[in-house]
Amino acid sequence: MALSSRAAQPVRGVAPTFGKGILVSDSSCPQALRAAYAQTWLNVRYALLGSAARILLVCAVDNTADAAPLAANLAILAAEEGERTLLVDADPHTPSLAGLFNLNLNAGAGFASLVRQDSANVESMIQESAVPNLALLGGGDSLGVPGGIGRAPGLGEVMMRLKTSADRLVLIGSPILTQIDSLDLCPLVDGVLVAVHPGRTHREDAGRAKELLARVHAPVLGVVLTRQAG
Amino acid sequence: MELRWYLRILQRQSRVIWTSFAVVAVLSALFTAYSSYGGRYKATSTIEFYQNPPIIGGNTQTLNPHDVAFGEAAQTTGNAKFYTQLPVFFKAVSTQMKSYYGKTMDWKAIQAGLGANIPNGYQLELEYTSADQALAEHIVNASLWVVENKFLPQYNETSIQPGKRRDFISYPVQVRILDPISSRTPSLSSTVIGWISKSLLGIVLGLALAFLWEYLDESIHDEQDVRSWMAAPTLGVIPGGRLRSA
Repeated sequence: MALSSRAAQPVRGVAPTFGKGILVSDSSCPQALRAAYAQTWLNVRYALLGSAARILLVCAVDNTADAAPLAANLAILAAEEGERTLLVDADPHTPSLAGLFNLNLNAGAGFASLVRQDSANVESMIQESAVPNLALLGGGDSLGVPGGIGRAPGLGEVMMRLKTSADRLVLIGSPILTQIDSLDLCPLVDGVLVAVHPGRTHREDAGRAKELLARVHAPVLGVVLTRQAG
Repeated sequence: MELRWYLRILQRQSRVIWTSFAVVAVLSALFTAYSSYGGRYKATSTIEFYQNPPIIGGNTQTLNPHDVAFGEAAQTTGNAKFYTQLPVFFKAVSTQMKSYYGKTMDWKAIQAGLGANIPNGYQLELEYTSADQALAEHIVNASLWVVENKFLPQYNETSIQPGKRRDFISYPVQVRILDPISSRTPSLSSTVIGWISKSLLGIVLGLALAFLWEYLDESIHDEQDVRSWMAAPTLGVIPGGRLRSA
């Protein structure tokens, strides 16, 4: 049962189709959108200034906002700066990388599958994207299990290997109030970015997300108000 | 802080406010155009009630006869206005219209367009608005006749009761026409001012809707809400909707 009745949504098993121009690497991306993402990335860099933080988790409060386009665009901007960036879909319940980057990712292979194995071959599942310096790792299969990433035997090792394989790791997390996976990942990341849809995300839900993040001592960098839906 | 809160709401709900203003302005313009179509004439006339000062003697000598006369005239004016709102008045006007002008009119149609005001204590203004100038003037004229010849004699008889009483000789209340019947069409400036004032009501309506919407809406809206509810900084605002491609 979901933590919030407002956030309760059926788990989608197929990748949503995103419109063209949603990524800053697209030539058809509106200038205002690119500028907004660039400013956001700049603010994230400021928030991380002085620390050796490399792993960034981007998650929404609930299903009213979509963290995937935000995470993907920040990863692209990081890659454009010359950082070897790995974008990981850590939300196996709603896989979004295939739709975002128009790729044929193996539905069964991905982050969720890797962490459930004791000795997984991480490198073999990472896929290069059309954006220079940007690699992708799909979400894998949730196996219909709500959560469970926190207790997966290979989580620590997989995170360590992913960390060493790139300069910057950007994780797309599941919504905080609908799946517990993001909260399980919080202790392993250096910064958490929360996506909120202005006008849709309820104040009380935002407050509850804040409480949950505080309970797991999540290193919250800040909030991004995003009206973009996937 | 409070002022900023109001300003934030106005910024956020500016679309509601402008939409409301535009809708009311358009409706008001249509109404004004419809009202002006074919020429709307307003016929008016003002009559004044007066009474000769009574002759006072005996124990009531402390009363000022002029004050008494003014008081009676003012009371008569109030009663006359009340009378001009009764069906019996409109029926009498309808009868007068038929007998004097040969014009058959339903009394309810007369009721719909006829108005009475008291510009000051002793004066009664009667007005009628119509697309037909002659009809408007005839109805006002018939109304004056009814007030003077139906209402006033009956009122004098039942309420004033002129004549000599113990220490008092009173006179009947009379009426004189202060402004003869005149008809006019609404001027362009008054039409424009009327339209602007109605349109401004749209802004008031929009403001009311905006604050009601804000009151009912419990979602996160902006950085201030993020600070209040999540105690975290806002690192970015990503626009949505239709954006112009690069």
